[in-house]
Amino acid sequence: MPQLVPFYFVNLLTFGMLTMTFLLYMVSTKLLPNIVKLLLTRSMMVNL
Amino acid sequence: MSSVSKVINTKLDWAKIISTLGLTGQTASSLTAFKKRHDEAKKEYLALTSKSTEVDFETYRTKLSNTKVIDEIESKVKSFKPVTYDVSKTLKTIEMFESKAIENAKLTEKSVIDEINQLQQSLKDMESARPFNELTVDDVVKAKPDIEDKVVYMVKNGKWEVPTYKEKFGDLTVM
Repeated sequence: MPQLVPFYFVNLLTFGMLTMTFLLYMVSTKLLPNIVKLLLTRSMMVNL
Repeated sequence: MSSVSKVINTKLDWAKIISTLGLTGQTASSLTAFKKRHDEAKKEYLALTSKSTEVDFETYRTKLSNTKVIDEIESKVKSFKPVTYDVSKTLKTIEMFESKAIENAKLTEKSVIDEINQLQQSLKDMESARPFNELTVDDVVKAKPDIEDKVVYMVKNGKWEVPTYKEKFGDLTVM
């Protein structure tokens, strides 16, 4: 059974953590600020 | 009167000049003041030229017994010669006024040309502007850079929702 093989999950955990960190970084610095910018621009244009 | 002023007198329409050139400020007020001075001088000149300058000494001789005084006055009047007046100072003042007026007119012309250029630039911008449905967020941010500052402030403070956005555009959240 592979679950019993020592350090079998280390590889999964490492790449899982790396992926999550990368995703968190991308979402917080690129995706969400751009969405906020779009929403803000829309409401500003209505105000103009 | 010089030939230039004669031409100006015959061809200048004072009433039209301010309205057609669209003059404002100091130029317009000094032009109006100049017109007023010109009108007053013209009126005075006409009034003075219409008056007779001849003195009828014979009437005085018949009315007064002392004709010696009348003779004396007559001789003095006949020998009277007008004093020549040095007008160079006045001319200099007029020239100074003229140069200042020209300077002001040039300034006005420059400002008018600047304004025309600005208006033409805005007209060009309007003509070359993209239609509303092709506008991107970056275009709007470029025109209004304070959006960027607001985004930075909101992201730093963890505010992901724009106030009054849902009231304006509705909410698509199902749950």
